Amino acid sequence: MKSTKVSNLVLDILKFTILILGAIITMMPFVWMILSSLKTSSEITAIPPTFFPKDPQWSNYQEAWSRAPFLRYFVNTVIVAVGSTFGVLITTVLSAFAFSRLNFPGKKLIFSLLMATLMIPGEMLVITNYITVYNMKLEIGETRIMGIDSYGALIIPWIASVFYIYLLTQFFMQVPDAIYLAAKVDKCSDWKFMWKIMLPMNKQAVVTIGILNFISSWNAFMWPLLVTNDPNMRVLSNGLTQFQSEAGSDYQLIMAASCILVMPIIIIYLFLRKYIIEGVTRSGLKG
Amino acid sequence: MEKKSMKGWLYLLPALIIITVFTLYPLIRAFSMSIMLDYDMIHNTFTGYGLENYQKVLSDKSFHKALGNTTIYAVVVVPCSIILSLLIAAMINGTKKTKGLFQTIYFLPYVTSVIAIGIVWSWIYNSRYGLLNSIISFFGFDPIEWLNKPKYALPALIIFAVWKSMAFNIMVFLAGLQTIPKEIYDAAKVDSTPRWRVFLRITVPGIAPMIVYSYIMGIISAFKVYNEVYSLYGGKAGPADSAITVVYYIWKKFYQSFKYGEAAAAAVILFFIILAFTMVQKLVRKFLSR
Amino acid sequence: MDIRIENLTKAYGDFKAVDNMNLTVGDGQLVGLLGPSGCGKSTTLFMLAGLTEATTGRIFFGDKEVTKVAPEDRGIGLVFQNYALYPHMTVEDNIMFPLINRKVRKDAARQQAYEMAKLVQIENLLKRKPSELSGGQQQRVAIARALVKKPEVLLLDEPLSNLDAKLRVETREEIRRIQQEVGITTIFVTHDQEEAMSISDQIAVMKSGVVQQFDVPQSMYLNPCNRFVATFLGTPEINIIDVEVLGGTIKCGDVVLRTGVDVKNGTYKAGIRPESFTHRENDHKYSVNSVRMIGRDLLLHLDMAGRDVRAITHSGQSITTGDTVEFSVRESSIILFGSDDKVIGKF
Repeated sequence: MKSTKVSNLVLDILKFTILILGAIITMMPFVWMILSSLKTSSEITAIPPTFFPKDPQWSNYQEAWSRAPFLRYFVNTVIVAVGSTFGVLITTVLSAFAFSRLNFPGKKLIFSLLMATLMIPGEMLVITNYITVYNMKLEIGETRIMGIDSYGALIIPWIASVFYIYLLTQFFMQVPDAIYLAAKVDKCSDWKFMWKIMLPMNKQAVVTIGILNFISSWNAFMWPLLVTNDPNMRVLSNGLTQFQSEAGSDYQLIMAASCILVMPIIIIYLFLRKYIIEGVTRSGLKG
Repeated sequence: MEKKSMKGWLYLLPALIIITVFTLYPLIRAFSMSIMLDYDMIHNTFTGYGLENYQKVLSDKSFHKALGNTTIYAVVVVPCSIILSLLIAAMINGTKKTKGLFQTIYFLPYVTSVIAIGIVWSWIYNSRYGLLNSIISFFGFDPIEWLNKPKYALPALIIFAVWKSMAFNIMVFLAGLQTIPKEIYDAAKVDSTPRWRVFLRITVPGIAPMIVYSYIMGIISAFKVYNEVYSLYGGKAGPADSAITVVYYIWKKFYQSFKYGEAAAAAVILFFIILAFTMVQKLVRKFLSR
Repeated sequence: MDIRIENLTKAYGDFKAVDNMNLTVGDGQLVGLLGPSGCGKSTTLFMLAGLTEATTGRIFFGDKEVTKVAPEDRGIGLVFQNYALYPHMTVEDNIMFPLINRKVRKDAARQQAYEMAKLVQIENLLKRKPSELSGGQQQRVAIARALVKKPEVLLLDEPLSNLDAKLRVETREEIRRIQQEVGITTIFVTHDQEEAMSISDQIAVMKSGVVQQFDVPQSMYLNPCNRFVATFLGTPEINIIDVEVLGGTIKCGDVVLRTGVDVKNGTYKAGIRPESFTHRENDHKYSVNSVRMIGRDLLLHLDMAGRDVRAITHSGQSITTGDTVEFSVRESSIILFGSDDKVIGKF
């Protein structure tokens, strides 16, 4: 009995050692990114590398900020992420409501068809979508609404997601029929029921979808690279790779620029991780 | 439930328009483009129909390399990532107070931009000033030219990819572990079952569906690796295309060599590969849930 | 408002959930729809509410036919089995919801909600969320929400089934009180015969979509129309035994239960309620198979010519297993059933 206790203790120590070691490896790139972004140009090329910057160079951020239009990139990224998230939420709520509550001819068929599209690799569609957007050029006055180098091109293809529709439909289905019937007797229209009851009752799921979409939009790279030529229309991820090739060996500046891209999401993650983890694991369990 | 009416279609309309234009239409277009010869996308001209695009892609050394890399990925990266993730997830699940903390840390790579973190990794891999080589030389080994030698390009990508993919796997496994009833563990404890046997005989079978799911998702995403490569090698697919992947191949055909037909043919091949894996996953899942 | 149901049928393919039902409920009455699960009682209620469409037949509220009227225009209040409160709204918002949908001004709606809450005695809970309430309190909120728009008919679907035993008794009295106070015609669905009998003015017992009997509780218990109703009402359950009638004598095996009855010779099923056995010196001797204490009473299992019958007697006596007791069956409490299970008479 005693020997199992001792071996259990050894196992526990081993377990925590591995977990902490793994946590350090997981965090390392982030830590290294932040530390490198605060080094001087001589510190960053020191051999062997120093771990902590002697005198944190916050000016690196200023310099990166001024060497490339990161403010503009930042604003673009926010506009695109907020815009697409807003769009996704509207189309997702409407569709999930239709699938979970309304009865219409061809419902099963269209649902299976949409689910089948989940198997299509998005990368396959990029080629044609580029041409579609290219041909959809639409300008109102001076502002380009759609076409290459427009917010429309960056946002509109992403305002509907079959996966989120599927996810939210699952949540909406869990709302008991009785609630719907009760509202019916209480003279509540379908439209009103969706906004006043279905949506608030599934607030958490809707927030989760919003955050997940915001993050993936924020991190998107290939599509924005494709549909923007004008540097003023770039988002952060494109701006960063562009900056990387321009900044040469000024790695402290590149790291500072990387921080600008990564930190907002890390902050959102730390505050709202409950929703994010919930959303991701749910998709994993459902398969 | 209510009587059938067309109202439901109205609610679906916004999503349907977007999905039709940006998913269904391009899917069909990809198929038709793949059999158009010398297709010029901008002027919408082509010289005829045929399977030459497929012939070209299938006999292309680069495409073979991409498939080969993906195979290595599927055989090495995905299983490694899954085994490590499973162990870590089981360990995290066994902690109490620190569970939330570890969960938060280990999931971090999933939410952060691959592009930004890839650039950080390329800095860590830097042969002269990189963190990794200084650790290696600390232990008395010679520094490695991670990103410049074709021999090391794929291992470098693999390390980065395992690091990145573990986050998702750990989360899925942790969620799966919650679904195993605690009573089973208690019963095992009463029978004083050794821990490793509990892990192999209770934990692993209990989350077998999640393991299958992660494995197939891992393979599917192996075909789609692009951002990782782009950021790690500064817009190239490694020295001499040594770290090329299938999606990178499509992208190159399309964006750099303007071979739209061949890009579409490669995309269609990718579609069928992924379809096949998805089917396998669904079948295995059905089998396991019986 | 009285309710009239005429030839009401609900068919799902070949299966008839409700089969040609006719029922008239008087103004201000409290009527229980009673039956086992799947008997069509909830379907009937939902047809009254308009949430389920009738296949054939007609429903009248007063003089007005409502068969095709939408639920929200029928002037009904509906309380669901699990209350169907909106979990994200406060109690007050829940009660106000039907009024706001009917374009009642907010302050007026709030006032009415308060009055209704007072009626069901939850006025101190108005700011709470449903999840912070007990089952009984949630039930009251549901009733308040159903009544706030001043409906002419109140419909309750299994209103007590989600409550624990003690609360159930309390709440059913409360429902009765509120119903009397408002004077609203009320129909409720239940599978619990005790619940139905204790508060209903009248009960409709249903089986397989057909109303078996519609009557006031006491007369339904004493004069069931068939074997199903007799068996469904009362706990412990009525004894059903095989008897033989020969020359005006009812016998079970060699036990003579009654003499001088005017029934044709033959074999019958007979129903005897456990409480119909009464102690009498020098009557038939039964041996006691088992004794169980059920509060005020003792439940005996007796041997009646090889058959096991239940009998209830006062718990003051000391009877143990293996004893012999002398019992007779009370006057006019042997119910004879014909081969079609209909009641022939009571003897």
